[in-house]
Amino acid sequence: MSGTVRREYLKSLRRWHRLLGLVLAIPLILLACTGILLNHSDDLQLNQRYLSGSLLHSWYRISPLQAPQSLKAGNIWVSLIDHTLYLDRRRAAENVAGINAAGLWEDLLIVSSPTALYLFDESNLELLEKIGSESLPPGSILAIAPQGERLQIDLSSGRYSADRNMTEFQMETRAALHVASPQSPPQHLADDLLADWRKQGLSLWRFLLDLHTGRFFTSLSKPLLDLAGVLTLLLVGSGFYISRRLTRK
Amino acid sequence: MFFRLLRYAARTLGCFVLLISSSRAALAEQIYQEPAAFLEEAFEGAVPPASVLYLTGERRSAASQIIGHPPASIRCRYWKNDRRSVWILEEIGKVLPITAGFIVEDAKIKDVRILIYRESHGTEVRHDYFTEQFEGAELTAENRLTKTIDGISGATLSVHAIRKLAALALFYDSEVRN
Repeated sequence: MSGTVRREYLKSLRRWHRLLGLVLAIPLILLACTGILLNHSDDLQLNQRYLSGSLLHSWYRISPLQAPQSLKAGNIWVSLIDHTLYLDRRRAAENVAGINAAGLWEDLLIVSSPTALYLFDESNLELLEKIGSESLPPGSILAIAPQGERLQIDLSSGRYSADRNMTEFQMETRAALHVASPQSPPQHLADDLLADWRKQGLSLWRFLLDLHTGRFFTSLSKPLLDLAGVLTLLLVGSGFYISRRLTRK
Repeated sequence: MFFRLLRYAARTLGCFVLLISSSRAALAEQIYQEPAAFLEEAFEGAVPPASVLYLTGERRSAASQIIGHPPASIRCRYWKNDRRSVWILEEIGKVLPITAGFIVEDAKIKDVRILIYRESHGTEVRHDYFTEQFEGAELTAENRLTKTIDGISGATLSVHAIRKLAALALFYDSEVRN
């Protein structure tokens, strides 16, 4: 290659290099900032920080798999949205498998799922205890009913009653308890519960990760970000070549 | 030259995309051992009746310091005979709770078992090479474990959760023994 051609080639390459730099500036800044934050996601507890905002939630189409289902225990609405349990409007427990019964027993509010009993203080709705299957007779829970000093529990393996501490169970020969059917809560309650449920639908970690990987914007942004990656490699390659040529001069 | 570079980069990227697209799908809840079965094993078939430990007052404050937040409930269930106490505890790993069983004997961890794992990553904590590290661990006056537990790359939060639960089990054991 003659000297003139080489110079022209280098000039052209430097123009391309500058252009690549300008085009890639914004994506690279975005990648760098989100990358640094994600690198410290555990320390910053990004998974425990949530983003609110109806626009974001609409963009992500955050909605539960099922509509809220509720039971009434005295004056208290016991509701479940996906796996989040609410007592009236108070978020009470997470990772709840379902609700099939709820009742008041002296100063306790008891909610049952197929796999556990949840005991709440009726006065302040604070969770006293979650009683898992290891503490109960075998089988899934079907229904509960407080009866005087004892709590009647129907499980798939049989009918039992429990003492107040739920540490002692005895088999019963009574009739089966009535099985409650959860239903939709009143509309105003359902709206409030959904609004609260959505607040923890989008973690900061998820948002930053989607920005970082390009998934946030549109379905095209992923291939565009791939293209940005390729162009970055070209930016590095052209920069390396240019600096080598300049060094040789 | 520029377009040669472009073609080379496109080929490399194509191979990379193929490689990463063959990754496995995320795991659902993994039940490694039913809690009831763990209790049967811990007490060799003679499971004592459950007892209840109330987490109030100073005990609650101490437990909060150990796990970094107030305990989820006011009461904690446990099983105890003359030799040992057994605790089935839960703690959030990254997003979802991990259920683990702890056997405490003579104020030392005898065994740690991951019973139910719900996260999509970090299942390595269930393996013996991790849980065996806890055997013989005791609690210091500052409610920390006496043994150093090695972490697992990619399972940092799960490791933290199990460490906290081990310290909590030892603390609860000291409370019921006293």
